[in-house]
Amino acid sequence: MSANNQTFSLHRLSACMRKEIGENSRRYLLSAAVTAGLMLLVTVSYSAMHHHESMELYKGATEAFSGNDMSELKAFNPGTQISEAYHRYHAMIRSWLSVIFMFATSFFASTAFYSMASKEWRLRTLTTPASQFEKFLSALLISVVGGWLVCVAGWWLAEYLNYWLFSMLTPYGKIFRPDELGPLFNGYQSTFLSMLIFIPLFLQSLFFLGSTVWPRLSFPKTFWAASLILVAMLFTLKAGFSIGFDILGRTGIPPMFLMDAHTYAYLLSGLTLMNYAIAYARLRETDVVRQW
Amino acid sequence: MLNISNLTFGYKQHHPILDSINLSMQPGGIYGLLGPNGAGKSTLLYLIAGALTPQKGTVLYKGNDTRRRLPETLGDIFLVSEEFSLPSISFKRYVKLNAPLYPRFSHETLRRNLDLFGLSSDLHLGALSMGQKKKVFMSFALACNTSLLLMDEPTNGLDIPGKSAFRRFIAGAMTDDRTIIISTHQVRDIDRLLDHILIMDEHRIILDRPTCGIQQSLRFVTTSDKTVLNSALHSIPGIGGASAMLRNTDGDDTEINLEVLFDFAINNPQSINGIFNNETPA
Repeated sequence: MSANNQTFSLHRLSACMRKEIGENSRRYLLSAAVTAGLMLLVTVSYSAMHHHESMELYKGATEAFSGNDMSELKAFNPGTQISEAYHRYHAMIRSWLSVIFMFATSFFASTAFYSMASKEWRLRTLTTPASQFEKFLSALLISVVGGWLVCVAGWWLAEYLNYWLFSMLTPYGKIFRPDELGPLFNGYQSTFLSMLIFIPLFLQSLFFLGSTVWPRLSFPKTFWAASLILVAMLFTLKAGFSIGFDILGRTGIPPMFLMDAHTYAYLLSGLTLMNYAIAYARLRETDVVRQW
Repeated sequence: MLNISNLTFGYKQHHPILDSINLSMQPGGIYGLLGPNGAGKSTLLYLIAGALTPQKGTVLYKGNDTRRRLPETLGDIFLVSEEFSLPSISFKRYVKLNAPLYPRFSHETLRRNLDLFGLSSDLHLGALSMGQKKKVFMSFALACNTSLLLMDEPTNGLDIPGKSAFRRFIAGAMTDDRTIIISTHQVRDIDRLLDHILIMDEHRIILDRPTCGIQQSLRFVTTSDKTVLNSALHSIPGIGGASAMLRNTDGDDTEINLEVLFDFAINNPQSINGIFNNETPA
């Protein structure tokens, strides 16, 4: 795509992204450091609290081998033979990390249009020589894709630093490396993985849209607005299905509680795309002086 | 180059700031956009830059509607607004990050502009005063070599040497294919620079004339002579005599006294254009 194309040019997109990251590098670095720090804090503090317990579990798992034979210990496949309890310990850490992941990716997305937070900044953004699509894509790549990359890197760092720290502390000289544990959530892979991917994607799109409405303090404002809408929807659905229950004699449970992982994935994907489409339309209509 | 037709805009639906504005600007001139506070000067500049959506009418720049904010248009217009923000980074980094977005950016022009304001490029934008930021920002704006440069109250916040440097800066920036629109209510800062004068009041343009046309029709003098003052179209009393605006009957060009012209235009919006057709003001 050449620079003459008025909708998309790779040169302008990369210049736009470099400008955004370069001018706000401190803010992005601070957010990334806080995210990685929180993840590390969760893994290390959880491990510290359960260190004794986990060592006992590990001991129990390794004593199953005859005489702690090093060759057998090396051949030990934790993905299949690790005790359920030991697995639960890691699953708990990963559940906490998932929660931070969702909050952090949403937070990054909520800063997508922080550059529109004041009249002067909005003017600078609106008059930057790039198309609306390039500005939108730049914000999307930095705050949504970049947010994922930062959070995945933070997760990886937290698990490996945790492993490194506690493998030094353990008298057995070994705890299981995160990659030896197999899939993130054994046994519930499709449901959990689908939720782990599609729920953060949907939440990100929601906070991305929120940042076009409230560029300043977008995260708390979108959080409360979305919570209110969700609660209102749940009450409406519950009320509607309670009436349905009375009439039809059915369960009275809203259908969202009965959907399978695939239906969730389709539904959330649709809502995610819709949020991004609305955000793009809002950006096109944005003026230097907010009139909405 | 720039055609504004039937432009209407208001921040509220039935309270227009600009009402059916029609303007046409050609390349190679410095336009002075004058008007009292709240006349809509900044709003008009925002509309020209495509940062606001007109309620009615269009702003066409080289045939493109500026509100579409096409990269080609945005890369050829630079708006130095009265209130602006610069990131808290080094100036060199700022230039490195922003210059690639302007296809005709010139580092040589930037160096020359900074020299003119007595600044070096080893600056940190977070450590500058408002006046210094303005000088740096204007230097960058001019170095972008856009064909249309919009400046909103550019001399606000500048010290006396800064204002003098600003006049040299603008005079040195003019080329045949560049148009500069300077919006201000501080008419003395720019009076000798202008090629064309636009005066705004009460939501519309009340005067749109080239300076040479004004000089052909009007003469400006400072005098205490009551005979002259009695024949003046308008006068403003001063310490060394009154500044007066008279019909130019002898064909000699005088420097335009923008204060007198502006004061007359604001007080006689209905008849200001008539005096250029030899009509007697009411």
